[in-house]
Amino acid sequence: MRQRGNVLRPGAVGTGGAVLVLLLGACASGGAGGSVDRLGSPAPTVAGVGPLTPSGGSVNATIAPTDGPEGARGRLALRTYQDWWQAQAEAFGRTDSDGSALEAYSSGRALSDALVGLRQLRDAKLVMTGTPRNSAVVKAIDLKADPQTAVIEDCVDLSDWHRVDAVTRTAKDPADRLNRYVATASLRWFQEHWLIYDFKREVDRTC
Amino acid sequence: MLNSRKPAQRFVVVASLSAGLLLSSAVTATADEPPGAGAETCSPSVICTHAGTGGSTGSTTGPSQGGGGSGGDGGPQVCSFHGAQWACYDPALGYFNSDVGCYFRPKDPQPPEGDGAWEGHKPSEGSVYDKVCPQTDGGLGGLQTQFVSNAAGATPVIDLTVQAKLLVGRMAFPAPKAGLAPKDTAVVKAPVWLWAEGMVAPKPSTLAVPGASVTVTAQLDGMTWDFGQGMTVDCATAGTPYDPKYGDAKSPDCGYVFTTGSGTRQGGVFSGTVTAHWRAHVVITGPNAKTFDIDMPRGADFALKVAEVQVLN
Repeated sequence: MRQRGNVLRPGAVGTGGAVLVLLLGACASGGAGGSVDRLGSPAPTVAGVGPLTPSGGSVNATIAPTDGPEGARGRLALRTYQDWWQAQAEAFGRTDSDGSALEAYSSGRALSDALVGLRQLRDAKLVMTGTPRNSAVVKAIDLKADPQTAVIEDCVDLSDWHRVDAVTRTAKDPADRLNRYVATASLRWFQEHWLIYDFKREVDRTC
Repeated sequence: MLNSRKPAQRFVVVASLSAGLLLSSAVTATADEPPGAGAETCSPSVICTHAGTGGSTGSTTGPSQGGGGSGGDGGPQVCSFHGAQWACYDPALGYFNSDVGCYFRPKDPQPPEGDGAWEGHKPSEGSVYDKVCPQTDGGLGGLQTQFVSNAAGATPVIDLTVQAKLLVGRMAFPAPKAGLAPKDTAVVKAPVWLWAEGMVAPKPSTLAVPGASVTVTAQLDGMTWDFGQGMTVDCATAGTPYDPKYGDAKSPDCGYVFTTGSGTRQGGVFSGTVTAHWRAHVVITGPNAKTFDIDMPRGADFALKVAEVQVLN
């Protein structure tokens, strides 16, 4: 049985390993059909990113087909998205990450934003600790486009994911930080795998 | 915002790659400590109201040599152009040239000699690249094609780590082709064999420059089969192709037993995916020796009909 969370490199288990919480087993159900919560059993759904049940009906009202070829590719898109969050949680939780693991899942602005953030955290000697939670669904998928595209809508809850001093572990959250918001991720099929190229925070929407 | 802390270690040679890039085995630049990069800077962007990565640290110019950027300390490699910051390497776009503010990725395969993309040059004189220039609003410009000469001084110095990633990006990691037995209709509670065809790792790739080298080896780090409905299985290997001599035995290394049929699914089949978890192992020798791995997942689709009850003769 292969261990999920293959972004964990040999030798990568260090201080940051503490944030890599393996959530084994099926995650709690919740969210609309096609939610990532339904994936991954018996394998763990995601490592390091916890499931979340949206509190209202403001997101995930309509979703892409969960069956057939679109559903299959959509599940891959969700897996990529969750792996990307896991890779972010791991990278931002370490002081010695170069963020290369993110290149397996992201491109364009999504990759650059993450690397710039990682650079800023590193320079300021800060890390993220805790667990980001979410509840993602495939909102749209187009297998006829060239390249193929997918859109994932998510309710992101970062209230248990905090910025701290890398040494003293004292809280260093920015004043204008977000705790919970609707996000939309855009993906393209590139060289037989999905890449997230854009991640938009819709801070005026609640979930 | 960039300075050169280790300029003495830089050297430039003509690459042996057909891409004809110039190489630097050493770090070209490292970032200054961004003023005020403490608690008042909102990062990472996923916890912030505003993205703020376009020039958020006040960078105004890129390094003198394209492709360089902050990251010489082992941290993330970020390049700057006109105040906006971009990943120095992007898996889909290539390397970032901070002199012109564009990503370059060698076309693979290169166009045939005489093609207009060569702009009248011979293949021996350089390479043809896909070029994408990000916009200041964060979007990506359209794809262009550009010939880049091999001539000294015509091409940027590329950090060796970025160069290694470009080398990995040019290696052909095969996508899996799903093999299933029974092939047409499986039956619940009966073992199904799973294997992926074409899982031959690309040959090792090397790049040698005076005083430094890059070696990339590829290995398969397992497969993930996903049938939908929460049915997934991870296998450590590509699996064993079924042969009638095995009878009704289980696969020795990669199989699945369905507990439900596919009759209620779209088209009466399980629409599944199989992902090959390829991993590139990179070894860089020389003044900035290091090793690292790059995940190169490749996925494919398949459909499998699973009957609830086996019809007995």
